[in-house]
Amino acid sequence: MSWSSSNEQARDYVKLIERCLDPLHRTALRLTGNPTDAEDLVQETCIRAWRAWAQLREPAGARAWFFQVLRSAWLDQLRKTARRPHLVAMAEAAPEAMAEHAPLPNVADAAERRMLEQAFDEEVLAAMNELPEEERLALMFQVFGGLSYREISDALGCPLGTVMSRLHRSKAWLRAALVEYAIRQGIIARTPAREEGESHA
Amino acid sequence: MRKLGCEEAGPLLEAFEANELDGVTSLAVEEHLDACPLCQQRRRWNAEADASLRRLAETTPAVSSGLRARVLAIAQTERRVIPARFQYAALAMAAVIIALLAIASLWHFSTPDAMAFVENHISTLAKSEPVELRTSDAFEAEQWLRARLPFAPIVPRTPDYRLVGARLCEVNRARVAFLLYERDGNRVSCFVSADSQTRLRGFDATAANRVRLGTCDGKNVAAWDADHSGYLLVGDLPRESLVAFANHATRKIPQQPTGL
Repeated sequence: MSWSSSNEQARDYVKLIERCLDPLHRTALRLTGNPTDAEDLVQETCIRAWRAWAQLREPAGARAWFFQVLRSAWLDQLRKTARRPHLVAMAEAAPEAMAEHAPLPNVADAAERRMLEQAFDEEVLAAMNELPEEERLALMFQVFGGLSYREISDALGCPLGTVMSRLHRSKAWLRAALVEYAIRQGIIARTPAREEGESHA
Repeated sequence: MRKLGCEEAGPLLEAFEANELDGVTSLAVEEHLDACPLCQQRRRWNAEADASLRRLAETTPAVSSGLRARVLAIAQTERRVIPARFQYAALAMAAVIIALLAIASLWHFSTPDAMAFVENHISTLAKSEPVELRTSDAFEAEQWLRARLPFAPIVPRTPDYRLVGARLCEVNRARVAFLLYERDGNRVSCFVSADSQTRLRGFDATAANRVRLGTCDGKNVAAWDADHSGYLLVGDLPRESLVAFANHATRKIPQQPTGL
């Protein structure tokens, strides 16, 4: 793709932003938690992306690049609102404790299953918002942005192995949250070993 | 293929589900999963979490038409902003250009305009006695001038022009010698200064022998430097004649007497 004239650049920008707008918006909405802030974040991202358009060398990397800009805009927004981004990775969420629990029993009734799913969704959303910012971003970029591991690595500016670790820890955290919920609700039984000293953090 | 333990396969489960592992590692994880109830449970709970995440993604409200329109219009409405580092570079470059222009202007306007002087001289010549010393003897004129000036002007000698006389005058706050020549009723004024005359402003051409040429009030002006002095010739003669005067005068300038 040629980046020669500003008309061509505008055309390329429109074409690429059309493709990325929905994933960006989904991610922004889950990051901010409300539609107004999400729209502001997406708009700020797009303005920044357009202003720095000349820095985009490879159109193939546009999606990761948009998310990189989104991350930068989001972290700036957190700093402005004095909400300090928590970037330190959390400890492993004791996944070995999973061995002590029976798998989630099959729920045959459709209505019951829907209620359980709704409850799980709320738990997952809450657990996701407790993640350190970089792990939360990696997970959201994958789930809501649809980015591959390589794209997440580009967007977050970290090695592929780090992306794998962050996603693994994030999933372990969500898994632990669901298990906790299932125990609280009596869906699965708490084993003696788990009662003694298990916690998320 | 090497068999994986839980501690190795566990961290790879998410990448395995996302099809992000290479073929060999993927097979190793799959083999471990087949044999490990713990990791099977992890996988099951991961699947629950993934299903929740998918539902959350699917139930996210779509982009509003207003946001879509605003974002798409950015390329048309938003002025392209030069990145900060280029802005600083451009500012620095602009500052350098302005400084150079300022220096050039200062130099230009601080350099006296030869034509302004010539214009002034022509009007002065019309009002007052042109010479203080009337003589056709170049040597006598030189002696007279050297007694009155801080430098030793050399009076040009040319067979075609008759020296009428000399006087002192001031050019750009410096005292210079003024010599009046005549040829066929045409008067030619010659100024001799200790400084270069060719660096003055107002000339519009340069002859091959570095004689600078200009015109003022219908009179031609020629300037040249020779023997550490500057010469400025003003007359009604054509430029070629002034250049010929300059060439001849340059050749005929005698060696400066010693002790002066």
